[in-house]
Amino acid sequence: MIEVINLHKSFKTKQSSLEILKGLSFKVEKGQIIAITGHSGSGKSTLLGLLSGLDKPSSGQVLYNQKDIFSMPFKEQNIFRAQNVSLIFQNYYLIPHLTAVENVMLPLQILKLKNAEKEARFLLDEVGLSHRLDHYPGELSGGECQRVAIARGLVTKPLVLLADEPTGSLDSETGEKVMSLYFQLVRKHNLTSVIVTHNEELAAKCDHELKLHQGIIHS
Amino acid sequence: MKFILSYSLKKFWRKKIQILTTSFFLCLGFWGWLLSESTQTSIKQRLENNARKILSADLTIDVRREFTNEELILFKQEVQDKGVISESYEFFAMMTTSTESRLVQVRVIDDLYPFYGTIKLEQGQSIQQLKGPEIWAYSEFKDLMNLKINEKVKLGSAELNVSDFITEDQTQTFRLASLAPRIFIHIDNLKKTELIQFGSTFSSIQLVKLNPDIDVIQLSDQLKKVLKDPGIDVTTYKSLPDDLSGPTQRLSDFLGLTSLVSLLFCSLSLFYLLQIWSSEQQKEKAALAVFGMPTYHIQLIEFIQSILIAILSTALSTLLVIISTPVVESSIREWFATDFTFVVTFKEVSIILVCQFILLGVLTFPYERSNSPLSRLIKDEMISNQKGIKFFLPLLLLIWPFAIFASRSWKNGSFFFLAILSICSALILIGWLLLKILKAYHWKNWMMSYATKSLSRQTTASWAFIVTVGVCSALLNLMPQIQSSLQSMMSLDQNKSTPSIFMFDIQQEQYENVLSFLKDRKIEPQATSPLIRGRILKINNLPFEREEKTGTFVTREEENEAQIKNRSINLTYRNKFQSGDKIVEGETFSLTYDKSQKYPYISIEKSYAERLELSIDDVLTFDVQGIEVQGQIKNIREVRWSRFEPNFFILFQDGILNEAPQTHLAALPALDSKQKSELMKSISQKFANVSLIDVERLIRDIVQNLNRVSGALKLMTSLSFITGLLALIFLLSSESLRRAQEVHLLKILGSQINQILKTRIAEVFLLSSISLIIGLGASYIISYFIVDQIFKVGYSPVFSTAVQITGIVLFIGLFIVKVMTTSSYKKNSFVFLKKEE
Repeated sequence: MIEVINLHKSFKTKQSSLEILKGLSFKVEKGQIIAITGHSGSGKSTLLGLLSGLDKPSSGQVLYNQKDIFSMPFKEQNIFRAQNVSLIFQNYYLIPHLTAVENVMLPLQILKLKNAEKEARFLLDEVGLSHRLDHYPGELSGGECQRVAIARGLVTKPLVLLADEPTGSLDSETGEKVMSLYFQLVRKHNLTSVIVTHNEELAAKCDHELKLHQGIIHS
Repeated sequence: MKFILSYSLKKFWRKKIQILTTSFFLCLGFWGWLLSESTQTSIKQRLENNARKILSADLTIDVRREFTNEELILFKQEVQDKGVISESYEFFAMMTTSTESRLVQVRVIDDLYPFYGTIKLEQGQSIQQLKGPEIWAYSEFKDLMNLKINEKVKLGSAELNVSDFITEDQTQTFRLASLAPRIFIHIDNLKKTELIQFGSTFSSIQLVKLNPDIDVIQLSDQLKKVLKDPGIDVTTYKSLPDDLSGPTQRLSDFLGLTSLVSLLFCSLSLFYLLQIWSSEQQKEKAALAVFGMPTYHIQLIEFIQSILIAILSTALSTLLVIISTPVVESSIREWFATDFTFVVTFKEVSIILVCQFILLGVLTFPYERSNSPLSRLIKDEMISNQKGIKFFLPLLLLIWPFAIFASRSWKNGSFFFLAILSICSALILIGWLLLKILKAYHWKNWMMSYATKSLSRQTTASWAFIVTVGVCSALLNLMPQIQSSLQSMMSLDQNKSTPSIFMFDIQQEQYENVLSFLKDRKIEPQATSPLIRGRILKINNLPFEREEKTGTFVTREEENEAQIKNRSINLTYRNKFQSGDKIVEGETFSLTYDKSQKYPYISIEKSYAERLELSIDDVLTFDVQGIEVQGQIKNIREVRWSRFEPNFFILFQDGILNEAPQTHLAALPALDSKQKSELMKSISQKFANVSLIDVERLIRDIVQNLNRVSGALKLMTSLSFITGLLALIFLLSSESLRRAQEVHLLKILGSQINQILKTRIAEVFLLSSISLIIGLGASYIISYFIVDQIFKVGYSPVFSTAVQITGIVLFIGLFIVKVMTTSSYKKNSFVFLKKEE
């Protein structure tokens, strides 16, 4: 499903070049949930940025079903990501002036897919927010916001769901509830998921854990 | 305290870019203000410093006739123990040489003149040496009339010898357009000239040099009490000479208004800049609070910061003013055709410092009260998430005192404030309606739907945009409208019907002779008018008395009214209205008096009627050479003075003033220069007392001087225009930065750049259009009132500026949105959003 081959990423500083990822290679099979853990600054988020195609590697490849996303033209890569890869952030990043249902509808509207409202309502129902459809993000709790973000991530029926510290802004109890829902939905829709987390308990619930240390994976 | 100070200084040093940018905008706004203030102060100071020289005395009294014996006795009783008195006259007359003739300003002086100021002569003589049948002429006459030392000239009936040329005359004040250069003659020669006759236009002047211990203001007040005739002007060196009038005075008012508008624009720019930085600032303050720093310590840090920024920007403003001094000095020298030294006083700099500090406080105050420290750390709030328009209120309220201060007038300042308030109210009201409509309408296209939801649900941000763009476009268009009207007021309708020569002081007994003299030369006067000198005694039987305004805060309107009330007035009668007359109020009437009428009818010029608050059917009682004459106002007419047709403020029906002592005025048609020169010479030889004005030369001089003033208007308008555009750029940039997160989210969700651009362009276009329509519409209404009520000139709107402003605002808006959105889109969205966390 996802194949990472010899992935390097370095940043230029004033004095020298700082290598964050030092030739990573790993595979994630369809339906697998992988956790990427590591200390701060180990390169976890950089890796997730590369997996989403939003960042470019210094060298190496990321293949989705044998297709290298970095070899695609920008526009094609953008459409590919929108259709196949969804992202969930620690800070949810919902559009503040759209209601819960409008936030979930938005990816479908952008991709000009039909039945946007029906699909959005269905997914919000699945995440247990059918009573909060017309509420704005400012009127929802952190856990509810993250559930809207999960529904938004699922609505386009992507191949892969990437999550960056999804429980980072939530208390442990809410975080546990949200992630339990997350696992349930990912399994139900047979999705592949990569979760970047500090949370060892969360990582333990995943199918596989990749430990990132000084830019190298220790599985 | 040591920690607070060290923290503040460290912060000040480490936030160099932000501090310098803030200081730059404060500096830019206050530079315009300081420049305007300093220019006005410099002009005032220069005039005050030179007032003694210009007056040639500590105090003068003057009247446009001979003083009566009774008046002279009263005057001398008040003054005799307090100083020395000198006598003088001033009038215009024709001076003729063997080949040329020209209108000259004649100053008749005695042995004591001048008490102050020097008159430098080419041969190095002293003015007190002027004795015998001789004149001293301005050196310009050497070129103008090819005049030479010891040449004989004729002035009225006297033949005088040119004994020296004047190279510098400190007793001559600067004027935008002086009718003619000066000559000096001794008072002993005045009688020989026979120029002062009944009906002649001249000023009698009594000059006083006071003993050092005498209070000149007190004496002036006393003289005003004893000399009842309002036609007698009492002037002291402490009262500003009357030369700051007309275009110069309006330019001064315009300068104040422009600097205020520029300051407002800079404040708006700063307002949006502070918003861009507010998130970081809030978090820092919140962190300090969470770590236990008492609120008053945090406020103290803010206070020290504001003081440091205010000091820095005041220093920069002052430096900028000092650097620009040579340019300003040379421009003002050119505009006013005078020596000018630019002065920046400590008082002005201190006021600017305080104002900057207040402005900074007002701009940052709303954020101080927004959230609790902890919520500031968690939330990343900007204006869009705030409710209400409270963010604009402190700035809006601050405009009021600033406007009063800048315009030095409660009336004008309050008018300006109310105008801004009205524009804001109209913009908020119509903006509110627009947002309601947008909210109710359901778009099928997701991009339009997204754009309208974004506008109608982030109401404060939308209102902020509408108000800022609306106010900016209104003010951007306001200045050109005022400028156009002022320039139009100053432009002259030169055409074939413009007269070439004015003849005045034609005595009644000379009138027929002058006409036949012209007829012999096949010249038909364009117009002739009788001229009767009078003074208003009563309005509706209530006495019309001398009006003196005292105190430092006097509006322009009050000054004008006081001046007009204290002057005698030229009356005329005519049997038909002229082409330049436009009746704007009341009825047209036969200009031939019918004895069955209760009162003779009179027509009043519009601005004169407004200044004296006269209205239709008011009965005026005039003193015409000691006889009371009454007239009832039947209409008010507008006169196009720039046509240079002889016209008068007060026009009587034919048949009332015909027997009154009078002189005549004639306007001669266009003539070629040779014909004109010969005619002027022969008229002054045949009718020595008749004064001639070369209208063409006068128009040329006025146009030249007004063009200089137009340059000043353009420069000031450009300054406010540039600062206005800067405000717009910062508003749009701040708005685009605020929306950057949305751009990245939409990108992650699969939006193409074109789709995002379409939504942003739709938003900016919609808001800008509504703001432009309201703002530009309001600018025409407000400029009409400012031009009509404050500047008191005719309104000449220009519509091309509105089209240009619409184009510029839309172009800038769409350009910034495109550039900033595209730039955001190209960035790494993942890294951006991670940084935001």
